[in-house]
Amino acid sequence: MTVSFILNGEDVSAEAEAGERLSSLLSSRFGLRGARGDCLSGLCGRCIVLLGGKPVNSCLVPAFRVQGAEIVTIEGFGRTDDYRDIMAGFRKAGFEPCGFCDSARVLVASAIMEEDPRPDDSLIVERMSAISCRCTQPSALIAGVRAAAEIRERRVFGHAGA
Amino acid sequence: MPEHDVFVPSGVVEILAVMKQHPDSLLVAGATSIMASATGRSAALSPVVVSLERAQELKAISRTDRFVEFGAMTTLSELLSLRKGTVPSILKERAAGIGTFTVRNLATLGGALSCATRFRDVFAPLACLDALAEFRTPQGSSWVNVNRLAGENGRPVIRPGSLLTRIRIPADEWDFAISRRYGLDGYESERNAVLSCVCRMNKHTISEIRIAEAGAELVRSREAETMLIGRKLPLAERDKDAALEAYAGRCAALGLSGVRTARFLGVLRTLFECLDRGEE
Repeated sequence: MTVSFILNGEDVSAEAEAGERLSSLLSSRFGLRGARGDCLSGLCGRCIVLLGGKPVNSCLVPAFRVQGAEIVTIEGFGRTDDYRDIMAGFRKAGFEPCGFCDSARVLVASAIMEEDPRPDDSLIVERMSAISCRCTQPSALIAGVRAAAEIRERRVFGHAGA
Repeated sequence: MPEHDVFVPSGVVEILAVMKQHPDSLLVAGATSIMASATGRSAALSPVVVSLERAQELKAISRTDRFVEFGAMTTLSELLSLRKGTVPSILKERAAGIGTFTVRNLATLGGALSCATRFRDVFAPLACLDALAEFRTPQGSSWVNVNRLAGENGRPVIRPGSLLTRIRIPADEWDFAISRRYGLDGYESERNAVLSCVCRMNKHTISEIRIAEAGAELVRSREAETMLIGRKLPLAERDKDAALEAYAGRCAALGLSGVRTARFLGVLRTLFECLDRGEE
C-alpha cells in the first residue's frame, strides 16, 4: 500500500506493507536512523517518535496507522527551539545520554515539558522509565530535564518560575 | 510484498458495513498486541484490515452520577489523565502498570478487552467492578457484563461479527479495593495474573464483596462471594477455609493446573488477611 503522511513537516509518501513497523519504514525509505528499533516489542523505548505530538514506540506502529498522520523524529525535532533548550539544559546539568538513548531522551523530555512546564521529579522519572538504558542516574536525568524546562520557560515567557 | 485492503472508516456505521462485507476482516485498535507479538520488520495481518483510528464515536468519555463510560478507542493514557475520583483507583493502578507511557499512548481500553489469547491486566478490576461492554452489530446493540466475556473454561470469548464500542463502569463507592499483579513483569506469560477485590462493609460486616482473578483464565465464584457476605471482620478461620474451598472447586471446574490453583489460593489467603487489617 502507499502511505502518505507528514514527516518532520513535509508531505511524504512511500510504498509499504500494511503491517510494516514505522521504525523500519523511517530507516529504510527515508534514511532516518534516529529512532532505533531494537527490541521490536515496545520494551526498550529507543525507537520513540512523536505521532500527532505524542511520544510512541515506532516499532509498535504499523504503517497503515500513519496514513494522514504527523510524525516527528529526532532529525526533525533537532531543528526546533525546544531541541536547543533541551540540549542546553542537559549540558548545564552535566547530563549526557549515550548514543543509544539520546534521541529518545530528548523527545521524552519535550513531551514532559509539554505536559507540565515545571515537571516534578516523579513525573520525570516515570516518563523517562519508558527508555530502558542504564547509561545514566535518575538524579542526572531529573537535573537535566529541570534545567531544560527552566531554559524553555525563560525563552517562552521571558522568566523562569520559582 | 503482500497486498492488504486497509479500511479506515470514520464512524461505527461505516465500520459495521465493512465488517458485514468482509466477515474475516481484522479490526485493529491500538495495534500494540499485534506488533509486540510479531517478529521481524512487519506483522502478518489478515488480507482485510479495519483500522478503528478515525472513529471519533469510539473515543468519547462521559460521566454521570451512576457510571463513567469510555469509548473502546480510549487510550490508557487518556484514561490515566482523568482527574482523581473519575476512574476507580484499582483500574487506574492496573492501567498504569501496562507498558510504558509511550505504549499507553497507543494501547486502548477496548483492545485490552478484545485479546483472544488471555485477559489483559485491566480485566480483573473491570470484572470485579461489574463493568459492562457494549457490542454493536448491524442488527442493533447489546450491553454485556464483562464477566461474560469468559467462556465456560474461563478463557476469553470473542464475539464474531460484533464491534466493542463502549465500556461502562458503575460509579459505586467501595470501602476496600485492592488489585495486585503477579508473575513475570513486562512479559506475557501463562503465569501472569491479576487479582482484584472490592468490598463494602457495614459495622465490620461484609455487605458486598467481589473477587476476580484474570490471567490466561478468569476465576470468579459468586458462590464463594455469597458465602463471605454477612461475615464479620476479621474473618473467622473457618469462614476463610470455606471460601477457599469454594474457590478451589471453581478452579477444578475450570480445569486449572494444581500449581496455578495453589498459587491463586495462596494469594487469596493473603487477600483475606489484608481485608482483616483493612490494608489496601
